[in-house]
Amino acid sequence: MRLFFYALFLSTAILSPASAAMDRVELPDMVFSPNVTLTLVNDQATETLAVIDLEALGTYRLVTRTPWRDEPAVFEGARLADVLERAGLSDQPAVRITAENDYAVTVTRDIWTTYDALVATRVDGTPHSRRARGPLQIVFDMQRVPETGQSSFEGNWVWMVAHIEAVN
Amino acid sequence: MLASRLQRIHRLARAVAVAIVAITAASLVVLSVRAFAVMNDRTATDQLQRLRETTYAVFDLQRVITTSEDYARVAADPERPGEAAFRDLTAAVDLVYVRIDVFGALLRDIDSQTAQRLAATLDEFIAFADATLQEGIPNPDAFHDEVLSRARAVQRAVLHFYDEENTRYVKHKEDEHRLLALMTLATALFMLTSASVGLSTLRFWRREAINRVEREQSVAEAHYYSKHDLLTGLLNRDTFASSVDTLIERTSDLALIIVDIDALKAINDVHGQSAGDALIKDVALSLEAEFADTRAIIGRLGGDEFAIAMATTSDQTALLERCRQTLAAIASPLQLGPLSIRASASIGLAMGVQIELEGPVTRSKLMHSADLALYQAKQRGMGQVEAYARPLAERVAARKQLEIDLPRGLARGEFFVVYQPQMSLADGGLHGFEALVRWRRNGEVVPPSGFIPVAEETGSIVDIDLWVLRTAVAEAARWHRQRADAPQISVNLTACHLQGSAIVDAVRQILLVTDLPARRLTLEITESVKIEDWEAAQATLCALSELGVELSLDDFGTGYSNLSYLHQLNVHEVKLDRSFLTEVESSRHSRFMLDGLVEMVAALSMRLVVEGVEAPGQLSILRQLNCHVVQGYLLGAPMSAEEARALAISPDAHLKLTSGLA
Repeated sequence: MRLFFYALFLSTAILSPASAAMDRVELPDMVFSPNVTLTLVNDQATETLAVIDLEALGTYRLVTRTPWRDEPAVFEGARLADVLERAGLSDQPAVRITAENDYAVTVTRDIWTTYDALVATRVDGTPHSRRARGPLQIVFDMQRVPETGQSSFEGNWVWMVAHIEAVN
Repeated sequence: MLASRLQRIHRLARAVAVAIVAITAASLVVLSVRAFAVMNDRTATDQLQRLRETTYAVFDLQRVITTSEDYARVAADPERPGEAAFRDLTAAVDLVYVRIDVFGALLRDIDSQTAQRLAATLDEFIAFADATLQEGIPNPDAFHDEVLSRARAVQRAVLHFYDEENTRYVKHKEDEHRLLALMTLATALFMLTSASVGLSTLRFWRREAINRVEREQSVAEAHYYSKHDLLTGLLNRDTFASSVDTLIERTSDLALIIVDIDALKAINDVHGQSAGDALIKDVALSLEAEFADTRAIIGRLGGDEFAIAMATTSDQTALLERCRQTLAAIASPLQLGPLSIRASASIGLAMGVQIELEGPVTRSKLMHSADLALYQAKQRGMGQVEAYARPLAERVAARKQLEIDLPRGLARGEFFVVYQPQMSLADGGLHGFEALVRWRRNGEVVPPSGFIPVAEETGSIVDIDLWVLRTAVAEAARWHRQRADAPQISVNLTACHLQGSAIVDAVRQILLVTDLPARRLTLEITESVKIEDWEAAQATLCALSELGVELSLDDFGTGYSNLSYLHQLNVHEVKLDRSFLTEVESSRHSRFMLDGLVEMVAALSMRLVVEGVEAPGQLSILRQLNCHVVQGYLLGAPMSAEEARALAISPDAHLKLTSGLA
């Protein structure tokens, strides 16, 4: 009997993330957008996108906790996959994402194809602030990222994102 | 003493071994608990995260210093817009803020003054930066100087914390390694001691098991040997007896066979005990082989005697045939190295159905009956089989009684001598008398054939002969005292006497005592017993001859005597067996043979005596053949001493005879 409950609990734990997938949303224009840009670099060109350009790629909503938030928050912004697509980096095996403080991490393609990754521009309906790890933050669905080795995966949650380029 | 000390040492060693195993096992448990704790311990992970955050904090603070310097430089130059530099500075402060968000929380969790102080210092730095930024930085240079000094101080504190944290981390790692080494050591020790203790336990058990098996084996062996004969492996006497009892309970239709090895003592004496044992074993094997197809119980009763009992559905004839086969198997020569022994055995057989006629079948009756049959078989010679039958039992019993009664009868004076006259054919005169022994047993006179063979076998004959000799010689001496030319006396002497010289002394003594002239005594040597030692016999005969007595060879033509024998013996007289006379009247051939014998005996200067003369025709033939002396019913039946004496001392005795015959 007890075994049955364990099985039930496990199955709900596994099935529930599916319902918490990223949803496509239409957002109102930002009244005051932060003065920040994202520089995308591929082999041929360098492109700099403002927050408004990012949100023009199509906006999505993700409700999740983060390694630094105990309570879930509503994150909104462009999909990382779309951003990379725009920059012509989707076929790259990996990209390097650099933060304003020069923190850099190499993200392999299986990460952005397997897990929904959001380049969040808004939190709880307001523009993402720097002191809340904005204005641009890579956000994953916390329930879907691997349970084991989360601390190593934590490196992918880049905040104050400034630069994305191909890894050669 | 030594054993108890060894035992004490053994116990101590075992206790030490157990203690070592227990201690190592206990420490292994403790270490395992600790190792489990270490595995679940996130201290190392937390420490690493703190170290990482500390490093980032140093960089972030440096970024604030750098951006504040840039801003100070830009702010000093009025031609350059300071907006971007201010933005960078703000961003750098934001970074420190965010850093503190995580790092400060980590620091506050640590129970360390340095950490708490550092957390406070970081908070102060942010508070100062925020306050100044909100004011719009009225004096960029002064701001930079203050940022520089404060940031440096914070950096120092951070680095100090880093060192502390790093030391803790290294120590933690060292502890882990030490634990790992200890665990490895404890595991190895545990495995070693358990292996050695386990091995010794296994060895101990093995020894225990071996001891137990050996004990059981010896018990089984003891049980086996209590029931079996050591030499042959057959059942021993007691076990055989109880097996037969069990068999009798089941059926009265059974057979009991007793097998006795002939002359085992001789084989033991000549070839040694080991040869005898080998023979016994061989016989046992033969018995087992011959009776393998039956469900026979085979036992060794002792010495040279075996017994076989079996429920039988076959008739006695078949069983006798099987017994004969068995004897044939036993008779096949046994090869013992260079030695070849040819043994024989006798068998007595008793059938339950026979016993049943006389009463209920019991083991003792069966055994007794088989014994009687065996006895009878032995009487018939070696290698014979005899089955028990009731008349046989009686015969044997009678014979056994006879054996007992013979010496007793002699002692009681139940024997007496009769005298049969012998006639000289030359002159028709009385030649002499043959002394014949008679036995009045229980009021009945037993003829010689009724006890002489038994006496010969048992050896009583020696005493009987001597008694007859004494009696007859004394009687003849009496005649002789009354009449100088009284007839001579013939006394029978069994060949047994010839094996020693005792008879010579006896004869000499008797002649001396009675004063009978030696030549008046004729000793008739009866050859019913085979002479084994020829040299001794000849020596005795010579000695007797030297005494002056005459020697006669009795029952010539039967028994073991033959012509060459006749020649070798220094005898004076040959007494022809009565069987020569049976056909002498009707058969020319027989007369011819008798004639030849008379001639031959005469040629050897011997006297020929023919006994058993019963018909006048026989007498006339013997007279024609120039036979010397005759004896028989025709001439006179055996008579009492008184009658004989009367005849012997009568001067016209021969006239009486001749006239009686005329």
